[in-house]
Amino acid sequence: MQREIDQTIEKESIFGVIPVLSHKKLYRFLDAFLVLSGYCIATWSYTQGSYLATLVGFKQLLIGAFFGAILMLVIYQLPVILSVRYGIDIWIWLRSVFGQNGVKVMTLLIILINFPWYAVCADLFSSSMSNLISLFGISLPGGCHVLLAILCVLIGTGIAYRGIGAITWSTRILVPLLLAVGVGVIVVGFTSVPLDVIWNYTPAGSGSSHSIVPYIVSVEANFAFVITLVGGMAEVPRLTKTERGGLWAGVLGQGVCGSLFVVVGAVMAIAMQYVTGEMIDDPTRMLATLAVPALAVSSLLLVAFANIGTQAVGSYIYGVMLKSSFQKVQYRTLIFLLALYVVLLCIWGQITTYFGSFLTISACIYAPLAALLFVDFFLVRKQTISLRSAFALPGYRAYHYTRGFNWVGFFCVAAGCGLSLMVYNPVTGQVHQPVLFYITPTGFSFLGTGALYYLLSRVPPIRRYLLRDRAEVTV
Amino acid sequence: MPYDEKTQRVQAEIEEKIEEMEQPGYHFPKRLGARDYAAVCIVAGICLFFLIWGAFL
Repeated sequence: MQREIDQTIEKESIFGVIPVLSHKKLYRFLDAFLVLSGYCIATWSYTQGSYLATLVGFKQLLIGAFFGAILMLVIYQLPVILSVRYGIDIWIWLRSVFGQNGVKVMTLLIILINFPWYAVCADLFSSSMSNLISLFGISLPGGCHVLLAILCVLIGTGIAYRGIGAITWSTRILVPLLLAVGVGVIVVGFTSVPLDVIWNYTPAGSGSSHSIVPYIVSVEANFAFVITLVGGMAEVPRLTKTERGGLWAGVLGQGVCGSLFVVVGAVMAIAMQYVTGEMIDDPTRMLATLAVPALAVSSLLLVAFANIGTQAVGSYIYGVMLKSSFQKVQYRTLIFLLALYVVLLCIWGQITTYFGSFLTISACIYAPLAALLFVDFFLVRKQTISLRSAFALPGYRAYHYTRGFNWVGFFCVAAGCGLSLMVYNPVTGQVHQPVLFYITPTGFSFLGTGALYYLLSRVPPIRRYLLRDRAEVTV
Repeated sequence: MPYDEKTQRVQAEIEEKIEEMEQPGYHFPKRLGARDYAAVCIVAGICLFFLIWGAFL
């Protein structure tokens, strides 16, 4: 049984990189839209929504959540058309940007900064279980919060350990569960408070004397929230039948459906503040406080299982991603290491406290990555690539660069991080460059990195370094 | 299957797929056209407008 699982994982991680040809594509626009919508509606959307509600009023929140998300998505996700066209993941193309070995380093970095999301999920699981138990009059000691969070990680990892069969079942249960939780939160939220209370909501204090700063921070949070999807943005479009379908499925699925759940989280937090005087980002506490006991119990269970499912899917996806870069390492070892990382974050216990900082810090890497892909695809390589060099077939080394690393790409990522931090300190919240702050640190980093990479590509020696693949381009 | 044999098999399959894409009769998925890029610009423009407007609410 275990051998079968190992073989399936290996097949997926190794053979899963093979280009998907046109006649093998699975998804039309609607299929891709539904899959990508489901991918976005994890319970961390509520954390995002309640964070935004601490910054801005409801009207500005609606604008930032929807229009901010769609603006960022429609620009940075344009390169998914390469995945539709050639049937490859963006990480294959990114070998031209970072080199054969460099892309492995980027994979690791992306996982390091992305996995804290699963600590957020584990934290929510822990809260839901504590609230569920408290409904029966039992109060758990403080240390149990961490233990429950670790339990979520262990159960989720255990499901991922079972491989694609268990993950498929988890996903079939997970998406309806999350939708049910969302419906529950919407119903409870809107029936607990008058509609005008939500519509006219403004936060008690933004912590800044300049009124526009919290709004820009909220737009930044929306940009940073959706740009975290960049790493996995091509998996579904790779299987989509048309470029138009692949692009808009992601933009609308993630920009509309994903944002809807962020707004739901905000409504929940506003409802809690109205009823209890406290801004709460935990859907389980809201459901336990505002809903009738029977609904509260079932809703809490839904949230608990949804977080376990998200943990499982995340472990599996990143385990397979790591496996494709480090093929000699056992899949089980990889998901164990991922679990260990999340457990350490759970023990630290501050991920939700520093949620806003975490968003912007992670966007420091994502924004340059997205910009490099955009500029490389459209402007530097003009939508063509040497597929043989990208797959490192024998005799094709155009993307080997300097011992497997394209230092131009890494220089631009570092510069992009610097550009973001130059504008705004995500830990202290200090704005360093007020004028540039208006286009947000993520926006500035994206534009600045893209411009830098393009300008470097126009310098003749660098251009020759980057474009040694042109003679090999055949499609 | 030993690791090197797997690698060779994968490389052979990839080469086969690339050769198929190089055939003159191969139909790539329908590309984005001028209208699609125009739609992207319009959507981006509308979003930007509302984001700027939101700053004055």
